[in-house]
Parts: sequence; structure tokens; C-alpha cells
Amino acid sequence: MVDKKFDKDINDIFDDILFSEEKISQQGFEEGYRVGATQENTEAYHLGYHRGAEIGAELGFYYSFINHYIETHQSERAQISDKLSKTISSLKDSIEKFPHNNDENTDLKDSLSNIRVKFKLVCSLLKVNVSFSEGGELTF
Amino acid sequence: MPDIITGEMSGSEFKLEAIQTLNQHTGRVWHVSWHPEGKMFASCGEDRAIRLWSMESKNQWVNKVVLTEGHKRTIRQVTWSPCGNFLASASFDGTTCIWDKKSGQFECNATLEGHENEVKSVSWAPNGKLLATCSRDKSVWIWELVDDEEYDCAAVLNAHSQDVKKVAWHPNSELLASCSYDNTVKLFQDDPREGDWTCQTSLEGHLSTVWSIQFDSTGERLASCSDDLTVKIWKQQEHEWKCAHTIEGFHNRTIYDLSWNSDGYLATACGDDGLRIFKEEACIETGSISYKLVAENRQAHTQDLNSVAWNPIDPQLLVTCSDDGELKVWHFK
Repeated sequence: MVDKKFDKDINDIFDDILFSEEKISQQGFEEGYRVGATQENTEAYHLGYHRGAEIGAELGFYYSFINHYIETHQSERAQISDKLSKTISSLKDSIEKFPHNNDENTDLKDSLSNIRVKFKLVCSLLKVNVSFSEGGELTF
Repeated sequence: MPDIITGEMSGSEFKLEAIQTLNQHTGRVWHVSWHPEGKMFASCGEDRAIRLWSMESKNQWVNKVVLTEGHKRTIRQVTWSPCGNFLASASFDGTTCIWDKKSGQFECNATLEGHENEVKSVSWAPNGKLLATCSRDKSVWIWELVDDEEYDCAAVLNAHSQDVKKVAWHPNSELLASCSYDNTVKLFQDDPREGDWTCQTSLEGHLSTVWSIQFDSTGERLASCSDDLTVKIWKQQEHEWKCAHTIEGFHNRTIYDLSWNSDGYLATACGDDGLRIFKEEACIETGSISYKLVAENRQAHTQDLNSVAWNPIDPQLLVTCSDDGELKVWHFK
């Protein structure tokens, strides 16, 4: 009777021993990768959610600011300078066109910075000092 | 003190001589600007004061006026308007002040607010109706003079990705150049198709912060100086600005400022305490250009040179200012 163990080629057995560390490490990696992918997915979702909410709040602030201005100054349209009304409508347009999902065809960072700059220009022309205080961008 | 350097190269006929040292400022002196008539210049610095210097007698410059009300922090740059009636000052307090003499003495009669933080530079367009400012907030603002008193913001430009160091206008067209910590120089123009100011070109080539830029008096050349120890000369070829020459191997530290005189001599202010003057030389055979160092003073000041400016009328006179708190008037022949 031959022991079942010896069905395996002796070289394979030696290989198993020799590469055991590598094999276990590979198993560990795969397991960890699975767990990580599930967990990080949730985390990434939250990050995206919060960034989206921040941008939304900021754009909403600008949008309501200019809409309020347009409404309250409708009667005195004639007094508003060309430059100002042009900038306001272009700003309004840009905010309305800002995509509501992560559109890969739009450079979100670029559009957002464009909107911020236009809002600054509007504030300067109106001679008011307004800033969106919850804007979360760190500057150095 | 080797104030006179008759050129390191044999046969150099140029002489660079310090004729006066002015040390009324306390702390670093950041910038000097000549009045367009050449009889007066303004300086500013860490002490939050603007000093106006006028010529009393030959080679004698005297501090006649000190403007202290206006800024709460360091004043980084002062610039005279092309008409000579206005003086603009850019400060780290985030504002730009416009001074005029309408009441008999210089007063700050307009303050341009809008930048989020330190304003680094201010420049008047040649027609005197437009003004550009730039800041650490990465933006360049263009202001328009309306009704001789009011300044309205005409555009906010955010083409740079980092701190913008300096703005400079073309001498005879409405073309604005800006340079930045993002290693680029950008050119802006009012685009009639879009009805707005847009970035036309980005000049890339410097390997580190571009500290200063200036067009020469013809407007054909733009010089830029950088932390990468080089000066680049850009020329317009077939409607595109291209780097025509790089001056390298002369500067040992960051080059902070440069200035062209009306004869085409280019002076550089360097962090290695040296003042250098270059002149373009064309090689007829190959059609290429090179720049020759015609005069140099390696110990122009005891610390970094922050700014250099040629007198707009007398092409032999220039002023430098430094971290050592001094201004020096130089004679170049």
C-alpha cells in the first residue's frame, strides 16, 4: 500500500513548502482587496456626495444671489450698466449649464472656477463684498 | 567697495558707476518706478511707505514726499501712470491705491478692492485707461477708468494655476502679459469675438517661478526672468510669441527683476546681489541673436536686488533697490 501523500510529485511538495509564504501572501492580498473594494466604495460614495453637496451649495448661493438681484432690480433695468447685465446673464447661464452629475465631457474644475471668477466680477461691479464662506477649497 | 566695474571683458567701453546711495527706507525696498518725465521716481517697501525722490541738482536725488497713509501692510509695487498724474501702489493688504495730486498734494483717491489676498503687481496700459493687478489668489484683474474718478473691474482672469508675480502691458497695444509661480508667462487680449478678455497664449520654457517680465520700448521683444537663473527673450514670429534667446550662465541666484532702456540695453536685478547689463547682438551669418554682458557689478548691494528701473528719458541712468534697505542710482556709459 502506497501512502496517498506520495501521489503528489515530490517536487510539487517542495515547491509548496518553498513558496508557501508567497501563496499565503497572495491569498491575503486577494481577500484584503475584496474587503477594501467594498469598504472604499462606500467611502468614495460619501466623498463624492459631500463634494457634490458643497459645490451645489456654493452654486446655489451664487444663483439665488443673482436671481434676487435680478428680481429686485427689474424695474430699474435701464440703470444697470451693460457690462453688469451681460456678466450677470452669462453667470446665470454658466450655473444653469453646470452638469448635475459627474459628466466626463465637462471639465468640472474649470467650469467651477469660471463661475467663481464671474461672481467675483459681479460683486466688484456691484461694489459689494460677498463671499461664499462655506467654500471648502484650501488655498496657500 | 568696487563701485566701478569697467567690464570684465577686455576692451569693454562701458562703465557702470554708483552715483548715489539712498537709505531712508527701513527694511526691504521692494520696487522703484520712474515718473514718465524722468525727473522723479517713487520707491516702496516693507515699511509701508511710498517715497518720492526728485532731482535737486546734478546727481543729487532728494526724498521730498513720503506717503504713509494708505496701506496696512508691505507695499510690493508702485507704478506711475503714462500721463504722470497718477501713482498706483499694490500692497500685501489686498488693495491697490491710486494716488493723485488734484488737491495740491498726493492723496489716495481711489482704492481698488477685490483680490482675496496679497496684491503683487500693478501696471497701467499705455492709454492710461486700463489698469491690471495680480495677486497670490492666482487671478489677474483688469480695471477700467470710468469718468476719470471711478475704476470698474473689466475682467477677472484665472488662467494661472499659482501665485501671479507680475503684470506688464505692451507699450503700444492692449496686450497684457503676466508671469507666475506656475513657471509660465501668459498673454491676454480683449477678444472682440467673445467680447471679453481671454488668455491668448501661454509661454512655457522656464523651469521655475517667473518673477518679472517687460516689453522693450518697441514692443517687439518680451523679456522674462526666473528662479531658474535664466532670462528669456520672446519675439513675435508669424503672430506667435516664441523664445528667441535664453541668457544663461551669468546669474548665480534667482533673477527678480529686469528693465529695458530706450537704447535696447537690458538690466537685471539678481538675488546674488549683482546688477548686470546686457545688449542684443545679431549674428548676420546665421540670423540668430545672442546677448552680451556689457557691464556687471557683482556687489551692487549687500543683499538681494529686488527691482531695477531705467530712467525713461536719460538712457544712462538707472535705479536699483534691495533687501538691504537701500536704493542706488547708477550711471551707465
